[in-house]
Amino acid sequence: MNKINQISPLTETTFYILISLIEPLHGYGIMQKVLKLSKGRIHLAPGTLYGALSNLVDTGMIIPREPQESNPRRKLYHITNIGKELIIYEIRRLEEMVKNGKSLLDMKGV
Amino acid sequence: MTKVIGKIEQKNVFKIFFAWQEGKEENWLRQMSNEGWHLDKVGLFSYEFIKGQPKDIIYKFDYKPFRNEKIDDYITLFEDSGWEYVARFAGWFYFRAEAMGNLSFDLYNDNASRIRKYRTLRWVLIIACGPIVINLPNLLGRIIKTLSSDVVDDMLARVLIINFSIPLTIFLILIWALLVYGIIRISMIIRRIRSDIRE
Repeated sequence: MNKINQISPLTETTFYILISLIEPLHGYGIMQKVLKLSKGRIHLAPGTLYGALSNLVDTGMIIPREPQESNPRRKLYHITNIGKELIIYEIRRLEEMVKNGKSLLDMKGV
Repeated sequence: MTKVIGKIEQKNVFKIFFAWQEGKEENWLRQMSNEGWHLDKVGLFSYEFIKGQPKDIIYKFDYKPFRNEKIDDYITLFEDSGWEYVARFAGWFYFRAEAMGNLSFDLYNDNASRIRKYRTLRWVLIIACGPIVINLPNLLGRIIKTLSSDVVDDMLARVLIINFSIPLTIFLILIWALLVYGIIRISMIIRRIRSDIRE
């Protein structure tokens, strides 16, 4: 829990990278998946993706696995259990934001 | 200086850009590619180009002063997203991609990660100041002590101080001033990015 508190809130980009790793992917796979999930809105740039992956690996949220023979140059990233906990924590945080935003707007009748 | 090796035409250009002049350097390299000179290698204030077809090519630099074993993963990621790795020098990685219409390219897609790049760079500049700051008082102290001593047989020491220690001290002070100026410029870049409210 401590670890989660240290790195939450995630940036939008990092959140999308983390949820895309619900199934193991390599870097390029993450870019494509995030582009699709965000309906073309988020074009992950390699510098941002590399930095986010390093941070997620360093904090133990994901684990890089050595390349397979079919794709010898690319590491596959796997989410860890604490990584999944982080997603749940972030979803609660985002839900709270949505709930508060909506209810305050409703109160003012916007 | 242009030279022809086999069928390849090359040229070396000496040009000074500092870390806070990225935009200028990028524009210059793009202009060179438009004239058919494509970057091949980078050194200290030196750029090696190879002659080819003129093309509108965008150059971008990333700063990553890291251990060698991670470089393959890093470069693969950039090449997978359409950036060609060109060269590296002193922690700077040079990438390029062909310009496509009005599409804007960048190596970063959010401000949070953009800032991290400049923070790393600023840290390295701060650390580089360390040895100079530690040695300067010592050097200055010795110069003052020798020059102000009245002992006549200290001639040799005086000659050494005047010919060696003083120029070295001036050189170190200049380098230090440049580093401090660099740190200020990089801090200004960080502040400019931070003033953009987007994440």
